[in-house]
Amino acid sequence: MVTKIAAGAICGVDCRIVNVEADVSSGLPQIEMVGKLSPEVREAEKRVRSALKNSGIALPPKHITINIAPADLPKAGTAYDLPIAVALLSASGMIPEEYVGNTLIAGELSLDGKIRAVKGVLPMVLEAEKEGISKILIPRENLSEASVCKEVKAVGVGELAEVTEYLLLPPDKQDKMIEPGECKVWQENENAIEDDFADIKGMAQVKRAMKIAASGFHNMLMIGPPGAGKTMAARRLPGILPPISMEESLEVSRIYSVAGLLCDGSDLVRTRPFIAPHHTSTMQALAGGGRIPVPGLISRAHKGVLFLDEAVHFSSASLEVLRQPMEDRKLLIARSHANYEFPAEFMLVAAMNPCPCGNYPDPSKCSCTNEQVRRYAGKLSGPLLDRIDICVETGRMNVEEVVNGDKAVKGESSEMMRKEVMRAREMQKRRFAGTALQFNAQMGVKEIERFIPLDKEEKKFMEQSYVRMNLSPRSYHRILKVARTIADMDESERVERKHLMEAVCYRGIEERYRR
Amino acid sequence: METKVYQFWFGDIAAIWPADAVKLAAMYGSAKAIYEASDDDIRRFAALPEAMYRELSVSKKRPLPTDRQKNMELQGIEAVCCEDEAYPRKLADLQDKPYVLYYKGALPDEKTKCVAIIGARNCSDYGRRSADYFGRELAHFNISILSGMAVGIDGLAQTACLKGGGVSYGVLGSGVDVIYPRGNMELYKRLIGKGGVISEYAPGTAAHSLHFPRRNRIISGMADLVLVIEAREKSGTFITVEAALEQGRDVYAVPGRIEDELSTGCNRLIAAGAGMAGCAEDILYALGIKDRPVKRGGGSRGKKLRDQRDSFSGGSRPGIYKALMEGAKSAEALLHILGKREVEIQDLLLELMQLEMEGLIVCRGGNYSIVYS
Repeated sequence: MVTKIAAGAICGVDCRIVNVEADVSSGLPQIEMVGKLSPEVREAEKRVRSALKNSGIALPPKHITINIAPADLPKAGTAYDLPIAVALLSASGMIPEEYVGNTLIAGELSLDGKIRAVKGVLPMVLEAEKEGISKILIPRENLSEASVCKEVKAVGVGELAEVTEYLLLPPDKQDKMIEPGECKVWQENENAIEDDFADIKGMAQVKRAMKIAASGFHNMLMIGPPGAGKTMAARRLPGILPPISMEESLEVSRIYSVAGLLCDGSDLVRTRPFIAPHHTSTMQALAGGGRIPVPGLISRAHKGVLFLDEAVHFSSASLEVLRQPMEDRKLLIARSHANYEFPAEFMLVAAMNPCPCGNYPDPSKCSCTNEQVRRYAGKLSGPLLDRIDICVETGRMNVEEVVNGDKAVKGESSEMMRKEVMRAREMQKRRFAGTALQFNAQMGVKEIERFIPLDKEEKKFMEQSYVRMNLSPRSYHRILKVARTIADMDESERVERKHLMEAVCYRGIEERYRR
Repeated sequence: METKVYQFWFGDIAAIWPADAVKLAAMYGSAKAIYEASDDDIRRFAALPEAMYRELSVSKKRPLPTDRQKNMELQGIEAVCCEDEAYPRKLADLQDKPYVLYYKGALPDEKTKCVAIIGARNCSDYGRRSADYFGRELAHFNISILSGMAVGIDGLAQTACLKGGGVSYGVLGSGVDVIYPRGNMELYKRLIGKGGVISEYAPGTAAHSLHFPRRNRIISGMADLVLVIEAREKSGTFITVEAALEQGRDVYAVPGRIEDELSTGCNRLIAAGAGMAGCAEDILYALGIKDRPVKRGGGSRGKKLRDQRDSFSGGSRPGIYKALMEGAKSAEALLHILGKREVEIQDLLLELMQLEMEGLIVCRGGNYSIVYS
């Protein structure tokens, strides 16, 4: 007798429904497993055998074949334990097959029959919904992330014995035994701001630059001495981006689910991610790697902020990895058997010291030569700098500002800043309606010409600033894009001279240090 | 031609022991005579450091620099020996004058006055402005500026002099074909066009930390007056100052605030009797170009300052001017000093950008400072 149980195979951040087939026939007692399985799936046999025994279930002494179809799709992970066990029970007639119909099962078994959390439950639920599967049986720890669809009932289980008991009940009585997880209603704006910009005293220029960066989704670079508050400011940046929407949250949670970050019973990702990889992170850690790749740190910053502290100390290979996602908003990882795609639409915030000792341009503290300063600034590669629109210096905070900054002169709060950002986003939405663009930062040369027409006066200003500021040709378009965002914040349809002037203030590092 | 080869040979040794070499050369009359004299002969007649005896005898076994003249011609390098007529008059009296001087471009004109401007490599904004002012202003009076083509005051003063249409000379601590520091490539090229680069080291010699203190005596020696802009209390600049005093050159210093570490050396010099350089006219008076000293108003510097202050009028410009005259400041610090609110940063940035566009201030590494104009 052959039975089929639906299970989910994770491919990148997507899931494909696969069938775990079990066949019990007479012959030498043994369990045989096929279907392009990686070692951990193959090992399931031992776990299933022990778990069944320790749950008080005796397997019939028969020849059992397990196949996971389609057989040419590579399968990895431990989520197949439970579906294999259920398929066995069903094939040997211990569970009526019609009771497990239209149910997707996932879970890892431990030898004593307990069911452990698995990775990638969220993509499975979403795929199940698409495929019209009405129920998903998953480990209890994963219940929270699984309860997102109205159409798919999520049932959390803790032990194999519990599963058998549950599946022996007719479907209408099953719900009474274990109630399916309650589908949560999504609430906009529910994410409170934890780190508030109001706590930062001073740093007005950085706050202004961050507001602009957030409005136009521009990547930015902060240059400042150690202890100037670069990290503190960057940490507050996700808080001024527009609140994460349901769709965005699901996209981000998918990645986190596959990476195994939601296994501990945590909910969907409801705030914009802030990822700060250490500068020793390898290329694989950033991009994602493995025979069957898992999402790396870059993908985990999807829809949020990727903060590279001490950016010049990252290996050049690690930094070059950033180029593709910054351009395409996704990462492609090729393996011989398949290509994997991970979404990676993030805002890059890089931070670096101005010179090796960190104190430039303070002549009383900095002992670096001009040449050293220039060389240090030149460590970031041109192609990367090309994608960074805003560059700002963060001076060390004044002692007075730290000590005497009383409550009355508290700086702008994140909430106020976010409002301004939302307004500018609204302008962009209207302008880019009917195009593939969302933000000013995404404009190419053609779009810049179309959306940022300059009058004579503004053109003249750009020419003058070219000569005066020693600008490089490639910074031209970056300045225009930033000026467009500043104009959006001003709710001005036209880019005026003052917008351009401010944008020039955030010109690239190559103009400021390499002369 | 023949004699040149021997002069080059002896010049390489003389660059290490200049004072002894001058004595020895005077004793024998020419480099060729020294070359032909036996080791014992030299030991008997001249009291020299032991290492120099050894170097003399060892170098005689090595081949003579016979190709040097030809290579120098290809590169446009010339050389003058202290035995030659063309040797700079000002150096001729020095006890430790360089035996051979290599140069690219020209040697300073004997008839025009020459001022050496020296100072800290890592100078402050005040030093930068002062170097710019003196370099440019002295150039207007047809005074050549002599310096070491180093980073900081040296290079800035020379650049300013060339910008002001003047002539400037750089005395190097390496061969004249070796550009050090690399960052001053542009200045090096311009010096060769309008002035020259000079060195006692043979072409191709790399810069060495020992060379710099030695070349300082040439800087002061070739100048009529040495002007110090910014020096710490312990500074290499004082090697030049000491040489200048030994050589009988006037020393002037630009005073600074007593709180500035970079001015302590200069202030100390003035206390010890150096002249105070408050404006270009002070130098001109010392050189005898002007008959009367400046009594009030600060001379041309004072006038420039007043003009500059006037160009900072309207809006928060006067406040910005006042704050920046005390030293370079970031936009953040200016915001604080001007007592503005955080959200007013964008207006301040616009004002700063406008000033930058007008060429009145400049932004370096996030710090704004006033430009000397």
